[in-house]
Amino acid sequence: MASVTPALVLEGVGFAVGKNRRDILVNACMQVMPGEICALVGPSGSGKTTILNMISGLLRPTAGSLTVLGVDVGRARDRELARLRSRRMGIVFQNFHLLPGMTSTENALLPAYFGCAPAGEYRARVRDLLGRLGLAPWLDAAAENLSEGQRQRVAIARALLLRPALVLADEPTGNLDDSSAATILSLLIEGAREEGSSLLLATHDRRCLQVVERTFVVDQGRVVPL
Amino acid sequence: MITRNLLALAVRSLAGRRASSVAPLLSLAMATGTTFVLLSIAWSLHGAGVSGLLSRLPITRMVVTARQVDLLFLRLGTPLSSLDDRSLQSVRAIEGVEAAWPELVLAMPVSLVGDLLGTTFSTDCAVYGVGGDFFPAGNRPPGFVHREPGAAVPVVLSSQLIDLYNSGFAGSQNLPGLSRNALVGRHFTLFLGTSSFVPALPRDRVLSVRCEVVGLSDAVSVTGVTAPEAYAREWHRWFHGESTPVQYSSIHVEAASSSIVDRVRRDIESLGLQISNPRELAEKIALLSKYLSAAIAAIVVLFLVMAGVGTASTLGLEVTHQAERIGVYRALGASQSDVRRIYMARAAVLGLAGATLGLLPAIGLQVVMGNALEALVPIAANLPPSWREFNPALALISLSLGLATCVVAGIAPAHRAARLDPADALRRAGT
Ligand SMILES: Nc1ncnc2c1ncn2[C@@H]1O[C@H](COP(=O)(O)OP(=O)(O)O)[C@@H](O)[C@H]1O
Ligand SMILES: [Mg+2]
Repeated sequence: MASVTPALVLEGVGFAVGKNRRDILVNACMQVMPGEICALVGPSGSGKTTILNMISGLLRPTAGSLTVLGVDVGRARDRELARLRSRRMGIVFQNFHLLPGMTSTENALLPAYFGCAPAGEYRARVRDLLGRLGLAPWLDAAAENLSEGQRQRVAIARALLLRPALVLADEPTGNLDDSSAATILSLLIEGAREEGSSLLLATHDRRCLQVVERTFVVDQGRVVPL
Repeated sequence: MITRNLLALAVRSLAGRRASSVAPLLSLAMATGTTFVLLSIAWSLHGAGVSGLLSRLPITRMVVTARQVDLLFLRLGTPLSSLDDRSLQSVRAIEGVEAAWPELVLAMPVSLVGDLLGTTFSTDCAVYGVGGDFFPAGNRPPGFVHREPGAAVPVVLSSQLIDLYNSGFAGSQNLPGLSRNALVGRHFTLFLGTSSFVPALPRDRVLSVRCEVVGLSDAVSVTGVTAPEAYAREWHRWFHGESTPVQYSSIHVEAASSSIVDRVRRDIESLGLQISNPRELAEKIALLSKYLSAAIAAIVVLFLVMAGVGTASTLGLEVTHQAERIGVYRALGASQSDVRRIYMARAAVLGLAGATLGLLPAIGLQVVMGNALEALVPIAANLPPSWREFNPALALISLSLGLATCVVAGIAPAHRAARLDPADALRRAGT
């Protein structure tokens, strides 16, 4: 029986900040399998965003080992991590971080600029994705004129553009009302399922727990399975 | 990150920051335009051949005159001192003077009647006499010798006459310009002993002499005609008699070697004579043009540095303002070096735009300025034409300097953008 390589492995990961090395995470352990839909829950300030940043390689663990899609984040070079993010990961940020002065289409197209093909080649896919997310009338709307829910959809399209193997979403249901939150969650999960991607949601929103396959709790700097 | 995407992103970020791009664009345009205009001026100075002229002038050759008084721009000969055979002897006696050739000047009224381009004209003039070896080696006009009685007297005119005629007289009188050789072979008549100042001398006191122009020279005086010395001495005897000594307007001196020129100069000056060296004048001009070039270089550097500092601070500010954007780029797959390249390309696009923006009006300005100056100052027509000709190499150099300034100015901000902590930038932008 061939063993399946996990999409994500944290083994004793720690993260400390500042001069006096304040511990934000200690000895975090978790594993996500390919195609799995997981949640990382914990109160605000518990360290969920920090974990996602380490997984995407924007931060390096200060202890333990972290392997993402076969890449050792602690050891990999900046270029390698950039390529990992660009080709194999999609990120939905906590505050969307759509760039002002750009349209929905341009924002969702951004990851293509860091790939190895001319960004213009992805224009059709962007429009298709945005259309499927219900944004067809707002393809050329400026990001700053969109509603919260619409911005979140653009962010999801941006994350899914290059068919990533792992999608990270930070507080995807943020300030959304119940029905919008449910829609966003199903869009994310559908998107991930379609591509066979793993999905890791970081959230303090209990509404998310009903739709995921596995949950990890972040508390007091530790990560424990629910 | 492939180049095409890089450029697309750099141009996009330029378009997105139109307002903040205006100041560096303008200062770069200014700097590039100024650079081009100043380089054109410096280049034409160079093209005027000052340094070439300098190297051709012999350092050992000097011109000795009687002590003169400089009064602003006027040079007045003092009546008490003039050059005569005694001065010539003393100069020749100085150790290190290899040869001394006097330029004899006739102390008598002379008028000249000739025709030029079909018009007869008459003018007062001076008559000089020099020996054949007065002319620097190789420049002796052919035919400048004493001829048999009755033949036209060979004379030499100053080549500056042509320049003066072309730049002033011909233009104002609507006459065609003359080439250097236009005067050679022409004949005119000198009336010795009479001039417009002293018209009423008896007929036997006036001698008419037919002359033929055999050449032009830089060495002879511009104010008159120069004949072989033997004729001048004859005319002097005819007018003044045997007893009156001849007078010299100048003595050309050749020093034995360049190493003793300074001592020879001092010795000649101690005789109460004045000395000038054509090379000295050329050196002054060369020095002046060197200072001018240095000043131009300094101004160019100053403008470029100012534009560079302005651009660097604008780009730096931009990086600070775009921290979130940089964080997003990094999170979406840009490596540190991608971010650096984006901001370097951004600087290059800005530089190219600014430099082009400045170069176009500068090229226009050069043409307008050239035409205006030629209309106002007739002598400007005699300047080497290079000073107002469009020189594509200089345009390219100016463009490259503007671009390079911007690229250099972009290095520090681009480095800072690349080193920015993306997680931190995103966290700050979120709150
Ligand atoms: N770069 C940093 N410097 C100092 N403190 C930080 C830094 N990043 C995160 N923190 C702190 O670490 C804790 C966890 O933050 P975060 O990962 O954003 O939590 P969550 O996403 O669960 O709300 C918070 O107390 C936050 O203030
Ligand atoms: Mg968070």
